[in-house]
Amino acid sequence: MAVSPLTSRTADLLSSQLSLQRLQETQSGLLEAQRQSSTGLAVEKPSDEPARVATILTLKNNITERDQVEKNLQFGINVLDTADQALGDASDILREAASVASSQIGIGSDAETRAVQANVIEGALQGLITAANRQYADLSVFGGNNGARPEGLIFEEFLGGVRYFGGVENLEADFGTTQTERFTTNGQDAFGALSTRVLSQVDLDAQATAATKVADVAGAQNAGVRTGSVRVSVNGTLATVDLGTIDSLEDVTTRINDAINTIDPTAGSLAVGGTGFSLTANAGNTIVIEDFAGGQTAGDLGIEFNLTGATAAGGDLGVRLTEDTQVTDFGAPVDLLGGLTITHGAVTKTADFSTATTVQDLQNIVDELNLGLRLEVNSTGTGLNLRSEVSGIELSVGEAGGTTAEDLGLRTFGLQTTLESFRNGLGVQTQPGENDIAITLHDGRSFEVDLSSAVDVEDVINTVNAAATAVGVTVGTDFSIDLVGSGNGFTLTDNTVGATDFAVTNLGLSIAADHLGIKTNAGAGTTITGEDNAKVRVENAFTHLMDLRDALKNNDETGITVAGGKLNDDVDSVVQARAVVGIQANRLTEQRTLNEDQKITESALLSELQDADLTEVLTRFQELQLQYEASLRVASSNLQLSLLDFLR
Amino acid sequence: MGLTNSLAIGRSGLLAAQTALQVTGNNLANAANPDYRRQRVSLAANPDSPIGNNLFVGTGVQVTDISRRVDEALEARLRTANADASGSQALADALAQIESIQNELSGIDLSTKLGDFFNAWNDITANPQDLSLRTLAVEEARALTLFINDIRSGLGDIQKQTDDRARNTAAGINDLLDRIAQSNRAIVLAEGGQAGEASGLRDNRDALLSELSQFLEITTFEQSTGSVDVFVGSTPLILNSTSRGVELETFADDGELNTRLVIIEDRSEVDTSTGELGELVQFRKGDLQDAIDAVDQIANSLIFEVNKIHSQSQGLVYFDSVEGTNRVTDPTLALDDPTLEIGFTPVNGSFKLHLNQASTGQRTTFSIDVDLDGIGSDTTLNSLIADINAISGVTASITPDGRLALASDSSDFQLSFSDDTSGALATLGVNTFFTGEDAFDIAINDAVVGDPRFVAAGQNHLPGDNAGALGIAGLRDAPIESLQGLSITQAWNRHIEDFAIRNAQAQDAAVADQVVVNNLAQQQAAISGVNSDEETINLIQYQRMFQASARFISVVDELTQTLLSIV
Repeated sequence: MAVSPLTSRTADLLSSQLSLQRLQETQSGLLEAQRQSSTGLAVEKPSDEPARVATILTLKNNITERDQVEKNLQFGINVLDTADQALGDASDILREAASVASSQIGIGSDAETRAVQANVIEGALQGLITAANRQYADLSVFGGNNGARPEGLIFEEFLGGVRYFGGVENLEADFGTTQTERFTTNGQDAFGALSTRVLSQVDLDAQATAATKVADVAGAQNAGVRTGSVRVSVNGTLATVDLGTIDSLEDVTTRINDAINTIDPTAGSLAVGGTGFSLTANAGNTIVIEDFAGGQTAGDLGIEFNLTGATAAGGDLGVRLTEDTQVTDFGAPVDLLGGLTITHGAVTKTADFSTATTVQDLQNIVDELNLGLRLEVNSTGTGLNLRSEVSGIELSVGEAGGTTAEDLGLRTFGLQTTLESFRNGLGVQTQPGENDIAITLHDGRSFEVDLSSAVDVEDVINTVNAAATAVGVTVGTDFSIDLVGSGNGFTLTDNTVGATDFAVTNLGLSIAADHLGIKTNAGAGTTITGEDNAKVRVENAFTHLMDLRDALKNNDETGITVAGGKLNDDVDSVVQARAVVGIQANRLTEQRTLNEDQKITESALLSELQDADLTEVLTRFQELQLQYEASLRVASSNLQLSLLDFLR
Repeated sequence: MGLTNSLAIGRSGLLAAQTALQVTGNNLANAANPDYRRQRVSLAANPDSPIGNNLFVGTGVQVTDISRRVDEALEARLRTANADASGSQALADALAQIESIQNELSGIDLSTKLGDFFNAWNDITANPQDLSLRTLAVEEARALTLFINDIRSGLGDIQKQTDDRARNTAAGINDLLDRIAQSNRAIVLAEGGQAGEASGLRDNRDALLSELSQFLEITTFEQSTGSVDVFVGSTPLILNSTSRGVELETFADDGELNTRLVIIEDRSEVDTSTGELGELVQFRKGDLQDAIDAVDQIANSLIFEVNKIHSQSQGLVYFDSVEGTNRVTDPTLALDDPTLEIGFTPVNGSFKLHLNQASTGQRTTFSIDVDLDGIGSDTTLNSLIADINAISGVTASITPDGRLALASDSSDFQLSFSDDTSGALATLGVNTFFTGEDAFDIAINDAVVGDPRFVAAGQNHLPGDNAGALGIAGLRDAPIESLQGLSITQAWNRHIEDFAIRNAQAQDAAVADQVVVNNLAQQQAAISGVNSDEETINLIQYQRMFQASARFISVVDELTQTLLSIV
């Protein structure tokens, strides 16, 4: 409140106006004190205290955000708690099933009892499906980032097995940490709901094309593409080319070539193809492409050139396979006319890729088979993986007359298939240091094969061929072993003539021929077609419960023993998944505490900045009231008096 | 010296006392008139009369002058201070109006609405398949857009009020100029080049000048005739008792309509940098426009950034057909051509158009290039449509009002979009959440309002995914290039902070300028104001003077009678 200095001569009007002004100022102060005491706020609008506004607004925003984070945390904790309970139930179910398996081994049980127990296990299976479909607030807690099926079920019976419809990634939310955090788990993590074996080792070698997106290359320096400007010099004339908004490799060639053409249209050009770019500097011309100091764009694009009258290829861009990749842009040879023979459970279908033009077409064709399979681009973007979503049934991917499965690296019984993976992971058991199988030909010759050092199917073929050669059998003429052309398994051919049966037998204690699926006596026949003992299946609790159920039904003690053992492993897996969920829930709980603490701190700070100090306000109000009263008295006395009052 | 002369002396005393008493009475009568300048009577002895032998005797008294007690320099300073004070008060009032429209810190403000909006999207991230949360997000967005519309509309009202007020002020100025010119003429006529002042007329003119000074920072120059020329800067408003007249003129300034004060006669601009009118004009193109620009920019960024994420995400259902919400005035121009005035600018890139087969659940993807590198033929709406029409199963066209329309050719196929690196979908308004381009017209896309399943919260075509919602919720803190690297909430907060400082400064300036006016007014009052005690003393003095003169005449009369009685 500014007080004007008094002047030497005081006019009447001035005196009254000053009195009025003082009274108004005091009234204004009283009103402000009244407002603060009634609202409790010292800062009600930004201009009340501009210096504090930035902090007040930030604190208010933070508190609003923390309220939301608190909701998210509570929801996330509830989701994880629900998952924890469901996994606890699943663990109990599996323990009980494993216990049943133990109780049904040996003489303590019989076929009838086991058949009854099979029903108990069927109930356990349904219980596990129910637990795996557990929801919180309509969210399937094991559905990952796709737990939103309209029916609400992410595990359903399908083709005799149990299919997982959920996502393989998890939902994430803002929990007040620097990065978003996941709060769901998924079928893969909790139950191993997807098969993991049909992972292609074949690099399809996607080629660089004009349409290739910059985002889909690893970069010549394996650091992606850091976009920016590059310097182009054509015969010494410099130009700066902005590659800051490139989207495709064509954008790069367009802009670089535009710069070259602007300087000298006959100098040369940049092209894309193969593994990346190539530059041609026509005869007598020098073209230099380089980064500015500190830039990485040319390096990342593999277009750092200094070329005179020559053509040179740039760095390998490491083009990733995507769903948009044209099949004609596979660098590796792939027979797409043959197709795949896919057997999933009891259903066999052929995937005909002859009309496919893109990777997405391949995916759609597989999807159209409706076999519960997913064809995915692998994480490194080099090849394709085929995943089964269905537990409890076996998958076999073989050829359909061509080499498609092998070329794509998707054959479940291929040359690189390991013997360990045979028989659902039980492997091919051999006798170390001893021969495992004997093959007898029609002409009476026979040879024994030691398979103990064979690692994969190709090794088996090579070892058998070597053993045949060692006894004088001409491989390829008299005898051959190969993979079947359609479907899966070994095929052995005996072209010799004689009365002896063409047969494959086990030797000694080895049962390798059985395990390889070739223990057969073809008699006078010339071909032995082996069984597919390298099928793939989802190894998880659902599968093992079904194994146990079937073994109990079939009174198969070995099967019961194996299934019981695997169920015990499943219990461990579920317990481990539960531990992970528990750790996540604990982390969120701790974060909630931290969030609450921070909110309290910020609320206190906000209060300090924005709220009125009522003691101070009321004291000020009292002072102002006194001041007002005094002003009124002084004004009334002063204004009443005049010399006229004293004149008679 | 004779008695007759003595009577004349007495008479002069009576007359002078009467005049002085009238002046004193007039001063007292105007004691409460703030426009009144007190007058003072100057008395002087009449020339002495020689009575011989180098002896002189006085001949009485006369009123030599009745002058207004005015310090012209002070008056001029006061007028300048008045201009500053009324200007800064007008600015403070106007800024307070904006502050009340923004209503920040009240809980019913844009900061809170933005927080609620982002919170609603955050809710979706937690439970993306809960349709009610999508509905809630739409409702929160509706509250947000309506609030932004309200702010923009309120600021538009202030703009209109300011224009009206400026126009009225200009009319008032014109009226004042006419009245001052009229006063000039009256003063010239009354004073007629003689000594002395037509005080009442001058007081009246000073009052008018004082009033005028509230609106414009004027300077005055008094002619010898008593007429006052009035200037703003070097521009004359009144010359030789003639007002040149002013009016408010509207003109385009960088695409914005603005106003300026001009002389009617020659359309020359009057400097309005200070004074109430000046502050109103400055406020309109300065602080008010800044406030409008700020909320427009926030709305524009909110629309574009949300739409950029939304347009490349998917809802729980896909489109049989979809129309863009933004018009393209010329489909032959590149989509980033500024003359299109779409409100948003796409960049070189591409987007993916998906054809989803309902019966099989399969999806076919097509990459659509948006070539905006400025080399060769860039993408236009026409070329975009041609590229899309090259895809079997989709028909693209332009609606009669210039919007992109896409439709599936079969009821078994539906459209969806993803991976838009160009921002073309958001620019054209395809699969967007918001419509509009600024605070004035921001709204929610009817498609989303009509069916919240179109709220695109997921990506990768997974109905249970939340990546889209997570992206939009993340905009709360995400730096945005068009906002100089600030997030939407930070940018708005920064505006509020800056505005608060400006507002407080204006309020402080108003108080400070008023203090200056008060100080000067006190000085003016000390010189020109009426003090009743002082006038009462004068009254007594002049009364005594009158009484003494009357007594003197009485004595002279007695002496005369004495003399006569001798006869």
